[in-house]
Amino acid sequence: MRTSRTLDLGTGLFVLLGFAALFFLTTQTTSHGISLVSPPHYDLTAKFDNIGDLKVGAPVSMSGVEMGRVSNIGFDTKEYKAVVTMRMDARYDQIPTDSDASIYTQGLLGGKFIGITAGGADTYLKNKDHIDFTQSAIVLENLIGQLVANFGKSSSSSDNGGGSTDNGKAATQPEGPKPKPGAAEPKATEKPK
Amino acid sequence: MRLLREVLHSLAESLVGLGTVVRFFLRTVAACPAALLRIDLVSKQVYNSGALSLVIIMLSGLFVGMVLGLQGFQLLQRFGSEEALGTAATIGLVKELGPVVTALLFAGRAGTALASELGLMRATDQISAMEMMAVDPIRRLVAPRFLGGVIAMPLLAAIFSMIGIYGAQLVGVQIMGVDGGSFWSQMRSAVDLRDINEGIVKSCVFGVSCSLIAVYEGFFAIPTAEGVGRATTRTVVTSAVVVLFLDYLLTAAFL
Amino acid sequence: MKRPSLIAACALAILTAAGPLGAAAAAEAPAAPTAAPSSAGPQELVENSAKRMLTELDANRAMYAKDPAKLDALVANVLLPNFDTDYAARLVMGQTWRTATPEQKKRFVDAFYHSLLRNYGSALVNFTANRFQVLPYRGDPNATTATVRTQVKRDSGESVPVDFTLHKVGGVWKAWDVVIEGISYIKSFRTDLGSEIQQKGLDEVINRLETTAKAGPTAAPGTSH
Repeated sequence: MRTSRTLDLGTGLFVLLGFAALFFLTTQTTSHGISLVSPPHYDLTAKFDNIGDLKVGAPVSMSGVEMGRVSNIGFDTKEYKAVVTMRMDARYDQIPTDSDASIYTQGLLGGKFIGITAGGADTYLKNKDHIDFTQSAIVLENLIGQLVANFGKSSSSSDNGGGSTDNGKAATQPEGPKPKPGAAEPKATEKPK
Repeated sequence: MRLLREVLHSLAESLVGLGTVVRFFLRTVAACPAALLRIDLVSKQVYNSGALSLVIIMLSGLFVGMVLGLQGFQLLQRFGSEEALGTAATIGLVKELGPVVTALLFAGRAGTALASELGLMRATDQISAMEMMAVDPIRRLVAPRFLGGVIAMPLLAAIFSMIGIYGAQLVGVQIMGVDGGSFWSQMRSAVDLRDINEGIVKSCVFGVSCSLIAVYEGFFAIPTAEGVGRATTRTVVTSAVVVLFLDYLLTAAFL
Repeated sequence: MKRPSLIAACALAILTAAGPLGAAAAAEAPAAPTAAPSSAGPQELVENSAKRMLTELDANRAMYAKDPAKLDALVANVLLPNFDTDYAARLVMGQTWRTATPEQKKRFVDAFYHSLLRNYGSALVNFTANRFQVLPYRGDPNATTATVRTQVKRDSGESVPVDFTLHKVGGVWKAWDVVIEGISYIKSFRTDLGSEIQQKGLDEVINRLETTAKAGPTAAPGTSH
């Protein structure tokens, strides 16, 4: 009968939708899930001393353009370093082999992401290549510790002593190219859109 | 002396009432396996309780999700952690809002339908007629409706949560500008299967309690028009209070 | 007295001192497999560099304190061979390496090395054995990249982790980066000089580095950025 068919159809649809919702909740919202779509990609690895709170799924970008995502975080028991695997979009396959991978922070308190700065080599990274040149995450607590330590030093006026404690950066430096932790953290322009 | 007797009397009445409910519940549960054999009855009730509630559940889910997206975004913006919107919305929906709001809406829509249907059958003597023909009304009428509600509730709650998450994503990512990838990736790393479990268990428990209250009120309704009306309103009120109370218990239990 | 750059100075010291001593060690060691200059592993390289630098400094500290030129010569002799200055400078130049002329490249490498020497070299004078400790290296012996971790003591007494990143090139281990308290110096230079090169152009930057190298820190154009 017609009413019976509508009934069955309606019930069937409802139950199907319900189970689809359950499936969605358990696989797409948790990390034990299954990814359903996967555009052409290649994988790169890099080792870091400290990844901070970098998570799987964090973006990998160059000049602010997102080129991939962190797909796996492991640990090298020989070198005691974190091994990060990055799944890169196959469209961006011209990353020079001497590029560096550094861990930055989104905004002030946001999550961590990986920024790649291009080098000048002629050869490009291929699938399963390793990025040797890395910069670990700058941990806020360490920075504060260094600031406190630097305030403890008395700044003299010797030539060697360009030790400007005003910016409280690592190991007070003389004039000249001054490595600053702040420099390792780019300005807002680096944030991937 | 009189006062004491009155108090004892009402206490006894309450106990009797409670006892009736429990016995009724046990009879219903006992009748379920047999009712499942008549799968056509059960599926009709699933349709009545679940499929017909879809529209209200989906709409409510969408709006609740969108509000969650907005409020969550504004709050998180103060701490610069907008990317945590996915986590906040998902956990809020899956653990609390999904099961509870769905249960309340279910009680309002499907619960009242069940109660009034059974109440009317009681009022028109259909139930007495069945008993006289040696057909167990519990097995024929109550158990399928109870099962229909129990099956429909968790599914409805899951649909509510899923649509709610998309609503939050719609507001957060498309309108407010949160990074889409971060929305999902932070959610994936923060939400655990345990949270989903908690939500599913809650919706099952709420399903059992709302369905039970609805069929009980309907079955034992006073067989007048006024009585059926009162049964219907009592369904909603009792369901709401019980759901919220159970929600607290379950949340504490899962902690 | 302030020795702000002792840390970085030690870093340079270690890197470049190991070569000759590594060669000597290989020659002496009964089990030395080949006659190659350094079959020393990365940890040995760092340790031997330090030892050699320290021996020399301990012997003639006063002389080096008075005569910076002699110190420069010591560094060039003992440290430089173990530092892959070409590679490090290339990394620092980053993208500009592609478009630079061979002459610019050579000038940059020299100017970079000498400006580093000028900025950090003088602090080496105060390098003493009790302020430096190399931690055991645990890497794969067959690997071609390595990180050697050390601890350096500051004036204030606190210990600072200093890591050296090395790679094996032509059968010889050489260092190309120093990571002090988690900050990679080559990466910092890449970022700083990179933006400076973008603003002012490569030649301008090379000129500035050469001026720094010649005249010393007082002539440096300031902290910039």
